Amino acid sequence: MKGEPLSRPAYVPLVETIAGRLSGVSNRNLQSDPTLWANALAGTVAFLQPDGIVVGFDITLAAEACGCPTLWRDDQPVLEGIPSSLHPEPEKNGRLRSALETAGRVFELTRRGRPCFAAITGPLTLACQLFGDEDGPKRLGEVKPLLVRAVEAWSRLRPDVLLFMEACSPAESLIEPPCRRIYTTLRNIVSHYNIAPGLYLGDRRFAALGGLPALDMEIYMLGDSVQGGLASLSSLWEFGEGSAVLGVGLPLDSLDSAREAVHRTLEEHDKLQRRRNFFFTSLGPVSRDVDLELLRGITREISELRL
Amino acid sequence: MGFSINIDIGGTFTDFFSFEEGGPIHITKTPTTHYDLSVGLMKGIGELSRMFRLDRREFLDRTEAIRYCTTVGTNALIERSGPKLGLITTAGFEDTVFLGRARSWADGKTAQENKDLARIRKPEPLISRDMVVGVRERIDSFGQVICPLRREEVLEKLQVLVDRGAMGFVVCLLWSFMNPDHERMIKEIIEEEYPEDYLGSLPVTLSSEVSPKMGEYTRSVTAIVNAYIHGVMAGELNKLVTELREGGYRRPLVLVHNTGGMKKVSRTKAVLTHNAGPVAGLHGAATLGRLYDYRNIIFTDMGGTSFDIGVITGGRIQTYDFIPVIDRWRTNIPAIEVKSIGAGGGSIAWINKIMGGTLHVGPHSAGSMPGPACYDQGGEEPTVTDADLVLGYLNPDNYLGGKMPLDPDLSLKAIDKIARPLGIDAVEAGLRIRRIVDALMGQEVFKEVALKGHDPREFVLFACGGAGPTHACGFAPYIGVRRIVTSPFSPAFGAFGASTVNIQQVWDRSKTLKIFQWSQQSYSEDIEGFNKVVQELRDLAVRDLKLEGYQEEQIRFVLELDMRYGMQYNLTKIVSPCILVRTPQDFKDICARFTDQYSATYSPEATFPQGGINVECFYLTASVERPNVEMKPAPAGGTQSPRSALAGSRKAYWSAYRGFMETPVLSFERLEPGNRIEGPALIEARDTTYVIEPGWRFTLDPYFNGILENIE
Repeated sequence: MKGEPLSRPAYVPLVETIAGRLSGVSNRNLQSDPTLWANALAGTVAFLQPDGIVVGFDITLAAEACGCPTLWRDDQPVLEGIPSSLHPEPEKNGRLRSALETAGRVFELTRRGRPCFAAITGPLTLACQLFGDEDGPKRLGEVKPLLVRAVEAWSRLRPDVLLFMEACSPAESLIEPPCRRIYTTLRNIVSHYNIAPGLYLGDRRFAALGGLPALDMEIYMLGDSVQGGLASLSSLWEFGEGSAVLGVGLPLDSLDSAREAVHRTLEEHDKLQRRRNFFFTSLGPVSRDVDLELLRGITREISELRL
Repeated sequence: MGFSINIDIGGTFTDFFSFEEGGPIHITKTPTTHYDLSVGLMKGIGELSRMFRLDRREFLDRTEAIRYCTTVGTNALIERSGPKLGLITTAGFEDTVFLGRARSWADGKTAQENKDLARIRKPEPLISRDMVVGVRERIDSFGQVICPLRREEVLEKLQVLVDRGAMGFVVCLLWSFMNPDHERMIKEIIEEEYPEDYLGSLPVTLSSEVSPKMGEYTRSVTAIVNAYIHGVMAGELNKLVTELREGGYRRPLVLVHNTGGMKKVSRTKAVLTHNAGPVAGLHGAATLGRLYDYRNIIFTDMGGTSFDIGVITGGRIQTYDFIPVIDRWRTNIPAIEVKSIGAGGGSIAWINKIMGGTLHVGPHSAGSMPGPACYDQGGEEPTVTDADLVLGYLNPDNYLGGKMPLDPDLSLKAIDKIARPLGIDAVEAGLRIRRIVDALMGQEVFKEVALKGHDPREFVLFACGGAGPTHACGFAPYIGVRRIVTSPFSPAFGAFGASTVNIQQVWDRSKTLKIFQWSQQSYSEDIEGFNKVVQELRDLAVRDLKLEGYQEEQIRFVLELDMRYGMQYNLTKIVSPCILVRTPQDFKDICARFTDQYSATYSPEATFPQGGINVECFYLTASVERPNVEMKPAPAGGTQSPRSALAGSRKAYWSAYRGFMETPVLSFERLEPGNRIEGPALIEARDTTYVIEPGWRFTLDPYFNGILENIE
């Protein structure tokens, strides 16, 4: 992140989803209690020893905080419909409020040893969640003040990275002026707090999207459908272009496939004329039922790599 | 060759002034990061290193001095982030700090806030009532012990405070400045009970050490404020020093004081750091003024949050703040007076519905986050900077040298919010915002100068600060000055001022000496009494500066005295004609100087020698001069008409023409000494924009200072 060479690639999987499982508490109960949640996340970090911690990686958090009705199905939050009115202070509402408090505690515990990532829904996705896929891109201006508040609240916790999660179609709206202008504002806010802005793309339609450098992000992470939707692995290195750091997702079906993906990535990277800084991550949030020993195995293997 | 880095933290921007010995000078500004001041500070140092074409480590490694005007202490007071303290005072006087001084509810409040009698309150005390204990002891006004202090009682009261959670102690006993023995005894007892090598060690602050001056309330409050902010400041500054050391800087960090001097962090009292930036700026103005032999200067600094005003008369800074207020607390530090009002580039324009829907500007500021609407950091309130942008004075693509692009649409949208209720368009609203803020500033300056008995027309105005050159022509007419000086260092003038400050400390002590008796028509013969105080202060100063690494021969001393006529209340400060008195004739000379100063301030008819003449307080300033940045005049070679500096034109609004007109835009970097530009014109420098209004002429002098003259 400081542009200094590393002896090995870092591994920052999105493991918030298993915190409840590791601590024996349902997600619903966990996310309503910042103390439980923070302890569970700290325990997850201690168990897995990843190279970084990501908090808030939940595409429903911001929408719920803005007023979207939420149901719990199979211990997972699901947005149900469009809100009748928008909550003017999302950072003080719902699970987002809890997430902010949790992150504050977790970051204080972990920041010395590993970078802290925070995550929040990006403007395009949030607008689609609040107003529908058709109206969302036209009403981006209405989500701006809400996101400004939420982003400032996250920024005050001083994470090293703030990831904006975009998983909504139409993808091309992401680089059109209305969305770009909001990203400029949000980037200015995080820059004031010396935080690196990042973009997580979770919809396959983003795979073919050009013009992303206009968003001026410092980190790109791709979800399964996006990375899988790329023409080839080599085109991954062109994603986002420029000097942005890339998060390369690893499959989690077996240790062999993960190992193979690591080695293939390193080989491809070595062939590049212009090197890019990168780290390994998961292709989206890990499944709650993921094999924990597999995760630990991957973490261990990457920690033993030497570049 | 070594570098010098000088830093001034403001409410909106952190300013940097840096030079290489015998080499180039650079200034830069970064938004102040209030959440952690060191972030903005290190960013600025990084920018400076790039300007000097070095990497940051090498730049810091070659830096000889970092001088810092910090707001850490003031912020700690405002945020109430200090420790829980216990106060030990003379029994029966436990309520002194809560009673205050009659009108203490008004301290630190603006004139407007003071009128809101229904809402104004005394501030929440820094020490709660249950954390104040009194000990039976008494010393009289001559320093004689009337009632001795008992160790057992001190231990008992100490335990009460410790049980209630005290994390530090402040000791303030009556007349301790005359005889500090009892205060020192209490400190010894505390240190015996809680030695330094124990985890339970607690810091002790004595009022007789922090502020050995008369005035129980102000002495107590000064000691309390110092103790309150000390720990927070020490923590923050140590963190900064560590970060600098890890970055390659190997020398001590030096803090600028509000008394006009500077010392290493390790030898600075916390309470002396408040308002150091504006005082440094005033010092810079005095230094710059000496180039031109200006005797009377009005120093102004218009930043993002506040507008600072200082006055220099007779070529000297001689206006001291009478019991200066730090946040809401009256102290008695010998601070130089620089008045501040909430008027800056980030001042928010708002409609006052209670006052009939009128337009007001300030005192609240948008600060660095979110900042003016045009900063595009989520701010939606219209500010002075938004008005300047809408009126065409600022170049949105060249603000801070292009580092911070501005969005004029956001400014228009924000200003429109207040324009519509007023029934006017955004341009008219922008114009009114500008006029109001210019009027506020101009009137405040006029009051400051005229109410002190001076004629502003005899002064030169220094327009400093990032927004100073942008508004100088606007507020100067309210003052009546016809000549304005703007420096190329204006945008970071506080930081420039820090580079001109000497290693200096003021040692003060209250001591009443009657030096003239009317009834006997004679001058005092108590030479020893006078000299004893001066010698004690001198010894303290020499010891202190030797610890800084200086020799006695390098130290210069100036003695000032607070004096008054007997039976009068107000004090008049004079520079004593001698440091030590040798004969009663010296007392006569001192009295003569006092009479002259008193006459100049109040009128010769107001003198009252019948009351006798007293010295009440001694101020010994000990300083070691440091070399300043060399300002060499360049040969005036530029043609009067600077065609080569013309960078284009844009539409800007001029009241004289009641509308927008195409206005020449010049680049400051391409101007040459001797160039003359008549308004209307705009001159873009890297960190500021000069707005030359119709009726004004700008001339670049050989020192690259811009001289604005009213030619109407």
